[in-house]
Amino acid sequence: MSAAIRLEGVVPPPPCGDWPGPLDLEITEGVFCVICTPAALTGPLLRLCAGLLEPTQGRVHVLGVEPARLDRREAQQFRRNLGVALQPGGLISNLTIRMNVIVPLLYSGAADLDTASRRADETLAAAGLASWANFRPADVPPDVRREAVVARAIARDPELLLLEDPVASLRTSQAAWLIDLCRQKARTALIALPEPNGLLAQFADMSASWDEQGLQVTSHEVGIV
Amino acid sequence: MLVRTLESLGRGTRTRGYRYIDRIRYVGAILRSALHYPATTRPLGLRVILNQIRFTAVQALPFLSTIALVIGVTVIVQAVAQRMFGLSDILGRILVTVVVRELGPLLTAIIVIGRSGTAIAAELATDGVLGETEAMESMGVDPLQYLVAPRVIGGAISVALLTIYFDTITLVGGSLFAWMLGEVSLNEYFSSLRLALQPSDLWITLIKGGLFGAGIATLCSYEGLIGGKKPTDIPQCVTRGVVASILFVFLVSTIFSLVLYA
Repeated sequence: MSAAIRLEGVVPPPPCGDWPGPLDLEITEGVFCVICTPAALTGPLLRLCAGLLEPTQGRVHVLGVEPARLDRREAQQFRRNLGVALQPGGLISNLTIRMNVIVPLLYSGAADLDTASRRADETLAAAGLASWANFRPADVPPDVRREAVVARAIARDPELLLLEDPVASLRTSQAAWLIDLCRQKARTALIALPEPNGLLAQFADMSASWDEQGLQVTSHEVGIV
Repeated sequence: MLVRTLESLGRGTRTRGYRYIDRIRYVGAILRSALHYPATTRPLGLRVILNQIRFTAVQALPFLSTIALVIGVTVIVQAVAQRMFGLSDILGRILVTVVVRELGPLLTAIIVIGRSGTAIAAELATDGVLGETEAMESMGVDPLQYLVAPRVIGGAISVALLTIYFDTITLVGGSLFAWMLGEVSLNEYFSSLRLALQPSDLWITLIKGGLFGAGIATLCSYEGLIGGKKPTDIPQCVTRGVVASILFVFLVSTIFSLVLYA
């Protein structure tokens, strides 16, 4: 099994809170990993993996490439293999929830309009959002928005899921359903949380926490560098 | 003191220079994005273009018509007043020069900057603040393709058509008003206009309007896209977009006049 994500002595650019020190982390393909970090670091960690931030030190390898070294077009191509849900959710406010799922499918070239619409409907139904599909983000409750962001990320069956605190503000049953759906849709995932979550730990193959004391693997099935 | 002033002047000039170079790069990036527009997204892109035309052109019609009518009455009444100095035979030429070639495109562009340029800059800056632009990038969607290219195309089409509309309302509406006041005979007015208007005036107006529209949408979207990090950035993005667009419109208008009529 090769590494889906490998961070080698990574430090992100400022400002990104108190980054405890160079981070080394390896997540093998097929592993569902939950990492708990200080709140200010969840976003930068995932942005480094998606190539939205360039490390000031160290190297980031994701799906066999260094995202920060790709040019604009290559970076777009690379990100089409990812499912990303960051905070804030970034649902496009003048589109309905359904169109928010369709647009990335279309622009990634993954599907024509009919196929994209069908896949969006299936994903929204699986996430329990069918009744909200034709509402705009501002017109739905926060937990529905959160679920819609995750649904958008998993709609194209990504090779790698990068989720930032995906179940915040969700009821336990809703959260379990959504994470189970994520497991079905994506083989590999990195979920960053600002505080430990017992439910997510149950679904994870690997859990870790990272703070001033460094990276601590609390349960593991794969190697940490 | 003098050295510090010179240093600060140099730094300011360099920053502005980089900004201008960045804008030129941005235009190149938009063109590249438009050329690589994915076939699957064309219906969606067309919808964004039509929405932009609806907002920029159709919804602007009542306001634009009022301004055009007021300008028409003012210019025509002033032009007709020159008859006492024996200028009636060049009435049409004055109107074509002032209204069709200069005032029409300029005023239309300024109205569009005020209505749509500000809206584009504010909307894109808000998208940035709400994380929508970053979310698009994180999913491999090119914001230039989805957000900018359709607005530039829609803006160009809208301003080109609005300029023709503005000129028509100004010349026709203004003349009717002047005729109602008994200042001018319609026959004399339209025959003078027909003699002065050339087919090239229509093409130049369309090209000028299209260039103004594309420039306004490009500059305002540039400021919105690069500037929106926090809510307090939004008004500054709008201001920068408006200033850059007004400067662009006047510069292009001057270049057109120098090249075509000097």
